[in-house]
Amino acid sequence: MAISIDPSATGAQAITITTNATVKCSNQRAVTISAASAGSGVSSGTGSLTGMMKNGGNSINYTLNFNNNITGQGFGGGKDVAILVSGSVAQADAENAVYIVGSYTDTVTLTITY
Amino acid sequence: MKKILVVAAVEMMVMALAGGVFAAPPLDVQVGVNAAVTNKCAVTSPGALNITIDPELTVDQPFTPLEPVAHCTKTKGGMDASITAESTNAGTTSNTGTLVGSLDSGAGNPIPYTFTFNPTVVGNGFGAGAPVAFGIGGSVASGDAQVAEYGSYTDTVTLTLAY
Repeated sequence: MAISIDPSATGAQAITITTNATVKCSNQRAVTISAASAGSGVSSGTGSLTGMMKNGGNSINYTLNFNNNITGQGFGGGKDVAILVSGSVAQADAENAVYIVGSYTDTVTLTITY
Repeated sequence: MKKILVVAAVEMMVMALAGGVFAAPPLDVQVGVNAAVTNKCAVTSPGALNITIDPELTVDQPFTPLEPVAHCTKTKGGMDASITAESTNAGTTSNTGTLVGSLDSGAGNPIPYTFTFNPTVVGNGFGAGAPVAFGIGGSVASGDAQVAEYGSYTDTVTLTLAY
């Protein structure tokens, strides 16, 4: 997931899902997913996670929305179920984002229980 | 009797497989999230300096400044944007914070003036309450004011932010 933040823009700014995380499970198998942000130290099983991208002492908050309950579609081609839905940086966080040479990063761990 | 035993054995195998699925440990997948911040400044409204010169006064006469409203990205360590000012009429340029400009009526007899500004500004980010401070001001020296001819004079100063 990646975003180029424009501090002068109005409204929330979307994070691009470059490659979605997907899961294949046995057909009709109920699967629960939780997410944890290394940057913010926050974990969530609700489908919405408050994460934090960091670079040194600077940070930017963001929101990640994901599917926390999915149903397996079985295996084979085309049976992947996408986990990530969307991500965004709120306007207030973008407006105050500090410019640095380099980038802010976070790692989100998705835990899939089935 | 043999047929009944075979069916029972198959049922036990299915139950065993189902039990194996229930015991599966959770899977962890890691997703990277990356962001870059654009460094920029934006002026959202222009300003103007106005002055009514009284030739009778014996002191320098200041302009009434109206600051441009501008915002710049916050920068790590307070990295600055530098400002250069240029007077259209005088053709002068300055990045020191003081510019000598020229007010012109179009009928000759221009009035020299001094334009002051902050040569560097620090970005405070965008949004309400965080504009950069241009520190704009200026004045007409008393000697120039005393000999100024009656009329309306103008000049345009272009401020260039480099960041």
